[in-house]
Amino acid sequence: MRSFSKYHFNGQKRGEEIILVAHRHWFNIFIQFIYIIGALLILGAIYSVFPVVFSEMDKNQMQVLNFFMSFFLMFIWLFASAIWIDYYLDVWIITDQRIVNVEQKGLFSREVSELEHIRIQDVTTDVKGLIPTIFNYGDVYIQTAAEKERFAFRSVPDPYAIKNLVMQLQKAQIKEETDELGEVIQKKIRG
Amino acid sequence: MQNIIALIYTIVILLYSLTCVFVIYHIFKYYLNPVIKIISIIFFAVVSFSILSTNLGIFYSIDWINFLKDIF
Repeated sequence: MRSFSKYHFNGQKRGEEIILVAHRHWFNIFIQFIYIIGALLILGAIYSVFPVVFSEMDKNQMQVLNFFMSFFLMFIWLFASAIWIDYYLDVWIITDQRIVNVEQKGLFSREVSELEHIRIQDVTTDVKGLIPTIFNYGDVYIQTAAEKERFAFRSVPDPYAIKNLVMQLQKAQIKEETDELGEVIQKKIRG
Repeated sequence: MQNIIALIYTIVILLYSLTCVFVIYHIFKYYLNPVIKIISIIFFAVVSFSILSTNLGIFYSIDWINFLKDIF
């Protein structure tokens, strides 16, 4: 399994080990980048067609065309960066103690929620559609003991492996808590 | 007319620069891997600055008075 020892997130507890960092599947961002690729192709087509169609353009007019091309390129670049930030900072961090869900919405909204393994009741995976089935990505829903709301991993790669990992960590934590409780009871009985 | 174009252009460039600062801030503050963080900041800053400087260079090389005369 990949090592995340060099990774660090805001609010990480001392001694807390990151086990998995999950982003949405690459196909999810690819769909959004199709618009960027389309815009770049249109820009390239205009740049190559304009001087041929308007062959009487002088040097100054050509510079104006260059200006507008690079002007649109600036905004395509910013748009692409915003899409990337939204994708890359939308992350689910599974540690040995809890699950942290960071939801980035554009550049100005960020939501962080967390869930301890001990509070997990049920884990469900949902792989819907042809493309998610082919590329093996989908949603993982975690039902908690305290809240009605489900904790969701959206469009993550290999949702079955994530489900298994969460279940393993939940079982390990329950065992740990039970052992600790057993020790306390034994100490009390022995006096 | 040329002054109006320059004013609008200045506002747009300021907005572009501000957005770039926001993107760099997000990368700096929220990226989990420190190595990828540094590489991403350098890559983003270099590309953004290159596009911006190219655009500024072209803007100031255009004879806007002549161009506007041709249009109006």
